[in-house]
Amino acid sequence: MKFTTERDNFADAVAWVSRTVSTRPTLPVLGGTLVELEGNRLRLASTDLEHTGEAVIEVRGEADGRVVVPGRIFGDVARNLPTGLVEVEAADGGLEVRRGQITHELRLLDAEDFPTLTQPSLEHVGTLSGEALAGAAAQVGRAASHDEARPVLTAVLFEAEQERLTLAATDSYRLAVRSLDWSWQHEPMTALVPARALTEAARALAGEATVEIGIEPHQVTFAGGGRRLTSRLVEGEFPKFRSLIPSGYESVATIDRQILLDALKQVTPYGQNNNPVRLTFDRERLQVDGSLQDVGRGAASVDAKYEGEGLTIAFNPVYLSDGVAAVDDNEAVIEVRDGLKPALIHGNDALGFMYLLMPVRLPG
Amino acid sequence: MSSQVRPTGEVIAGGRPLGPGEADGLGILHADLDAFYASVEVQKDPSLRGRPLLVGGTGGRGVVTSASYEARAFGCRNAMPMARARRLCPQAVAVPPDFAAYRRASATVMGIFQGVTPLVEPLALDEAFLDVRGARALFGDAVAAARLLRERVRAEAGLALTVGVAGSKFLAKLASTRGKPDGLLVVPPGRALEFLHPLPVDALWGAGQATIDVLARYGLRTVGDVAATPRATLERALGPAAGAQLHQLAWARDDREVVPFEAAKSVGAEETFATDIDDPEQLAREVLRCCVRVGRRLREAGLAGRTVTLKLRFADFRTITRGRTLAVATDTDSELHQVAGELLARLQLGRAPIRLAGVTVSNLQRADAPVQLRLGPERPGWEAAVRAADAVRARFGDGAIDLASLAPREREP
Repeated sequence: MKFTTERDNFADAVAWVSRTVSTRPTLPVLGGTLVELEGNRLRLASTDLEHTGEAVIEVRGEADGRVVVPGRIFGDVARNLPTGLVEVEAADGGLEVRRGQITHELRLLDAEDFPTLTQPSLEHVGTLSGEALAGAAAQVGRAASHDEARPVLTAVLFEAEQERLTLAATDSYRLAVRSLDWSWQHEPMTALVPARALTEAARALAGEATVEIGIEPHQVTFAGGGRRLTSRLVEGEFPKFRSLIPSGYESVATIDRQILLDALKQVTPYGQNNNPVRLTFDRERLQVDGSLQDVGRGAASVDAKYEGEGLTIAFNPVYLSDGVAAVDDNEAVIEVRDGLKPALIHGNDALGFMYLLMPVRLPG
Repeated sequence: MSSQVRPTGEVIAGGRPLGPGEADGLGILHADLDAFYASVEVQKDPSLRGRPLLVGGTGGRGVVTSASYEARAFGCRNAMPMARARRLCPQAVAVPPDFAAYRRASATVMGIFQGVTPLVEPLALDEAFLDVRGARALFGDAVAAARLLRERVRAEAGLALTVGVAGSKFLAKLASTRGKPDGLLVVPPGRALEFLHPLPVDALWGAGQATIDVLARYGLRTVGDVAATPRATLERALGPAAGAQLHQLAWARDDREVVPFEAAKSVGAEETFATDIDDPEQLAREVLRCCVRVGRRLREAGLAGRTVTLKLRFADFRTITRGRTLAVATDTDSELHQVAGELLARLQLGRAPIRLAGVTVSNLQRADAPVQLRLGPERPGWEAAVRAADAVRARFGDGAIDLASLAPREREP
């Protein structure tokens, strides 16, 4: 195998497949990246059996071939190469990567052992822009749980419908839901996508004009710009989240989103160990209070439009900031009922994104 | 304070009345209820009074947790297998422990202690150290405070209390042990060695059978023998730490303070089965039973915890633990059971015979700390049911109410 390629294009492709290299491979070859050349088409792939990454780029090919090299090192090597033409050649001792005066030689793993990667089915595919996907993933992904004991909650629910994609995630303390337009020409389907796979794919594909999302019974594939990430789906049943969202709040506050975030930041020093922050809703004002026993307290007052009874409600400061930061509008709307009922946070357009957050119950 | 008229059971070490100033160094009390569980059982059922009574597990591997003095006369002792105790005293009445009743009685007694001094260090339901040095202005000297405690506990809780009065925890505890039953033993600091040195070496705190055997090989049988032995010799014989400590105690040197409240680090419940369990369903029920007990203890103590640990001991005594830490502290049976049940299921034990199962909750915090609420339909019914069940158990005893899945199964025809 021998080819020549431009460093940037090459390094991007290697970085893409580096994500899915097994960190603790059960087989040595799973710690490797597959490098396959056919004519001018270079295909890179890696898998940890849960996720599979694949990238295809055009190179100047001289001799076809198929090798597997240690994946992590390959990623580091490609990233550190200076811009310019890179020569890659498989020799007896290993895979040589040359750039000017720089030479790397990577040991070859047994390519015969590399698992056959099934090609994702492209039967049920929806499309949207990379930017839209990245935005939605960032809004929803943080509400997913990290507790592996309840796998369903570590996933983001995809509800694929004609012209509409809805993403939802909850760690049982908060729920984030985002609906966006996309193109989908099939019957409605749902999928539980691991939040980490979604976040990584969406971030890396953010610059693509079109991202394809293919849903199959047990896996999902994100594809764009010659790159592809396939992830196994989480099994189980996602909570019936729509029934969690109350309707008909009577107390509604509207606040400049950035000013509220700045106020919350003022009291973060008191928020260690999830010490709650208190919001006091009053006509024309919203007061943000934080305090830590035997340490100190802080308060910040911001202008707000508020309709409703005077109320004080406590929240986990991180969860609250996550929700307000995710609002894609200049103004944040917070709907509340009382100190024991969930608050609903959204922008002026409540249909696109909403964030439901349970309060913290204070003693006494 | 006059000590001319002394209630019965009151003894001063050395047998001479306290001289002027001799009460000055006294201030540490060890208060110990006599045959506590058995005495509470007699209170519940006065027809048991005067009869040999054994409290403990009545199953095949049951152990005596408390024997009345009548039963002790036949040689029955605490921690003795129930089967053996019943052979020693066939006419004894054996009853299972009723911890709810013991906790109630204990709370009453500890409340009386607290009324005399805030410096109460509970060691168990039935014993505590008290530091009464600051209570002199209100209640007189330490001997007067001890008398007051004994009178009040008898009058208000109906229980016999033995109190050891001394200048240190070590001597106070020794005094209460020697003062039983229903007694008051005072060891003034000036008579400490006179009291201590004739005692056998097992009176020394930390001297177990192994230590006693070693000391016996050196010909040391009394505390006085140990005191008369050079410290270096003891350190060679028992190791540096144990040797030095024994020497200190033999000279009645103990400066440990009474620590009013030792916050619990964990709350747990475990059960050794009468016969090993290899039925997965039955084991799951036993784990649930532990969860229910732990949940209730947490709620009683006003605590909630984040780390749930499951402990299992196999028939061959191999013991394993598996734990998980939750995002939010819990004190509810159902949540504990969800976690413990998952930990159990993950072990895939098959039909391995299990001898003991236990559930412990650690990483504790006050339950009245702020609580992050969960989304989803409220379950006020369940929460209320659990609290109501707590109230029923507190009033009618542990067996009064239970989960349906823990009820005894009817035999299939």
